[in-house]
Amino acid sequence: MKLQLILLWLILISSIGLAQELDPLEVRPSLATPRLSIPTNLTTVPVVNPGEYFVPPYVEDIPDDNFGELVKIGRNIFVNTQKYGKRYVGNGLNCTNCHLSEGRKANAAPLWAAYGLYPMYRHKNKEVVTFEERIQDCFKYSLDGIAPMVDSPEMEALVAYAHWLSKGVPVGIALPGRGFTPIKKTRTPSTENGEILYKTQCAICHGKDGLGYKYEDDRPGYMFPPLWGPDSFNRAAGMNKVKTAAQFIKANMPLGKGFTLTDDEALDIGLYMWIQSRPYDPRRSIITNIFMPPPGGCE
Amino acid sequence: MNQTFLYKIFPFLRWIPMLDRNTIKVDVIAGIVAGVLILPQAIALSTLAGMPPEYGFYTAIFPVIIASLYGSSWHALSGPNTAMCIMMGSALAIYASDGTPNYIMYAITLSFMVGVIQMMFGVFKLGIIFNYFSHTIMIAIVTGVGIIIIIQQVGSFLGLTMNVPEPIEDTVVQIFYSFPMSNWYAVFVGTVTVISGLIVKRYFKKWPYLIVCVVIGMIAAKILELIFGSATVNLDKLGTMALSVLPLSAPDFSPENFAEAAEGLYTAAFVLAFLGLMQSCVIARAMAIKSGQNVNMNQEVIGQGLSNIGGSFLSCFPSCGSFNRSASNLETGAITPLAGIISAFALGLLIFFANPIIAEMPVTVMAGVLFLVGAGLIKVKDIKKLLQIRGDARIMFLLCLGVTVYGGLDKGVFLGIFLSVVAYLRSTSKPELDLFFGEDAEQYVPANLAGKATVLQISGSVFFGSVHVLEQVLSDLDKVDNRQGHLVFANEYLHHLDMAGADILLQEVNKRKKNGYQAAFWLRDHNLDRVLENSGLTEALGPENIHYTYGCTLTVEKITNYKINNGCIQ
Repeated sequence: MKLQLILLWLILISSIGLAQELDPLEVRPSLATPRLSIPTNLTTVPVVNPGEYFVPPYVEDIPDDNFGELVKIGRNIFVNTQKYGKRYVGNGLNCTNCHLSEGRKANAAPLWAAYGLYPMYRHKNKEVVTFEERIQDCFKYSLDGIAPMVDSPEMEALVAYAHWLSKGVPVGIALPGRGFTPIKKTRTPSTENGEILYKTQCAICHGKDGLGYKYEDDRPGYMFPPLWGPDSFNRAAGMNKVKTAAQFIKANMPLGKGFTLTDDEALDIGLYMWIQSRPYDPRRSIITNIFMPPPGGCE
Repeated sequence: MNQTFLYKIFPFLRWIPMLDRNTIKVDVIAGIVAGVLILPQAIALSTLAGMPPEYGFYTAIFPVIIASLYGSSWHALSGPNTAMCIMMGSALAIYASDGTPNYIMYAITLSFMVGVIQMMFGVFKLGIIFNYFSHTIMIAIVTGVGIIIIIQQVGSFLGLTMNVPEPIEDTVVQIFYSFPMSNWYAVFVGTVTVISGLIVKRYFKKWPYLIVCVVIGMIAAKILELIFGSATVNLDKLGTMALSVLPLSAPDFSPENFAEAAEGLYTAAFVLAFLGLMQSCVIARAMAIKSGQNVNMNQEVIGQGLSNIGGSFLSCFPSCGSFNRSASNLETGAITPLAGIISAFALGLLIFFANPIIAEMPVTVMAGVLFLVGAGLIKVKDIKKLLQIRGDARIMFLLCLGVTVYGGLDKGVFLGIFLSVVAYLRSTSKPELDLFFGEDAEQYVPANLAGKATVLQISGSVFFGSVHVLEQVLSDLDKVDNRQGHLVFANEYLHHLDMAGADILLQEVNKRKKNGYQAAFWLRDHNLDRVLENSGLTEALGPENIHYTYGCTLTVEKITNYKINNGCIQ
């Protein structure tokens, strides 16, 4: 009898201990398999430290109800913005051009790391913005188009997708893998070095002219997105900033070989991208855009 | 094959032979004008309905073609309608959020249901009902729609995002509290749109003011964007439309989708069918008066029903005749419905080319357009006239307007139907009673009545619902006016008399006889003889006191009880 009691006690203790040890952020396996984003085989890269990042639910787990329908629409818009978000997009990019692996990949601005942080204060807007307003900024700047209204069906679908992708994330905590990767410069970036690096590392996919490659079949949009030119993001996009671009490049580029360039090399490429021409900053008047230097250079 | 039968199945065979070179030329021009004119309305009304703008265009294209081919009126043009869009928006908002695939599916299903209900109206030849719908109520509902549109659009006008489907009083409170957060660039662009629209409407009457104001508003927005930058101005815009040449769709009655919304959809479908037919019939009649064409109301109803059923398979939401478009169609000189068909094709071509421009259309400009549309629905002159008349009309108008604005359009329509019936009954339940004096009276007083006689003319119908009026007048005659002599009833215009009414007359006749006086009847023909006979009035009066205007006397064959007309109807 006494033995049984002790055993029961032990089981109870151990179960409490187990509950405390199970940290979803550390124990879960990482990596999810994206299906729709292109090119698939290149983006399924193991993350740097397995077990470090949050793992969003699998595509197969999208619930089979009205919410699930909305999530599927949101995923379609996210993956194939050129077709499903045609109403608002102004250039040739898709959401997944920056948010790699359907917005799942750590260090490529994953949605699951952002969703729990909003509403938050943003210096860019100088106010507290909601997740919807943040998405509007993506459409205005990175997609160089028209912001969908916060109550539009496209917006609802995108938020539903992000919501579903972030199932189980803590609220208000900056998760590991959020945004891109931190970067430190040891010397002034140079465009010459950037050009050499671009030609050797990037031009094979993005083209010598940086205008990317379209799909060879009739699908709208680019297989490899343009880095500059009229079909690329505009001067107000986050990626227009040399530092942000370098952070993205360091973590994710060349595709499938993230973290192979040094910080300075990434900054060189970022600067080389910055000096190219791209759509104007829509926050400024046309005169300012023509006669003033574009924003986002090296500080 | 029988020609009338052919005409019944293909009503457009009636006007196709009319097409010659000249007619086609005139119709094509009128059609192109109509196609261009619908453009701003198609966008604006689809937002009112909570649908993406593409669907507004589909609705301005396909139902127009079907209604032109199968409708009776040759000048009425169909398309999206303000009242129906408002009704749809408020009915569907409960079940799905605006513009989502579910919402669109419900709208298309609703279109099918509306079409079927309208077809039933047409097949059972109930189109005539809409002639009885009170004009006062119609004005009240349309005014209510105008007010709702304006209140709902204030948010878009101020560049704010509002929860439009909520009750109207909440929207007003919301406007009050979020006013300081308005996007003043949007307010400027919207104001420019409205003011330019008003100026054009007032001083340049020949110009299409809705199109001019949209163009001016968009130019204003573009200038602001060049000066301050589009992201600073931050106007909400429509966006590029994904148009399809043949947008096939189908109503969805599968239980998992339809069941949860069935109740609301059925109510909405009835209200929409009624709203649509009411307006279409008024329009068809108005166009017929102007053009001199003979309109078959039931064919018009069938045309509307078919256009909605057909529309539901081509991604359209419920539509009906549009007054503005029909009137301008007639003004531009359209002769046959070919103009309507051309207008649909013109619009289709136009939007394919204008898509990039329409994409840049700010929502606040659309709100400005809707302000103008809403203000156009509030006909101040008609309302003033109504309010000046004491009595039923004023109360009905205010009651129906209040319910429409505050309780919602569906409740306004139901109340309107109820009030129309009540008003009709009230008006028919009042027989017209006149006292004759002097020469007018003398000609009715028969020779056998010596002394003072009162002549009372009863016109209309005396039945159980109206006897109280007659009773009142008769007792007043006796007590207030002190006319206790002979009484002559001039009943030539009495169309209908039932037992209850005859009883009242009998009582009065007997009362007079008791006091030593007599009563006499003047009748026009023998229609009422049976009632008089059965109620005992003939007996009480005596045949010598029943006179017929055309000099014929009452002869009843005693055996058959069959009344012989002695030639009084010649």
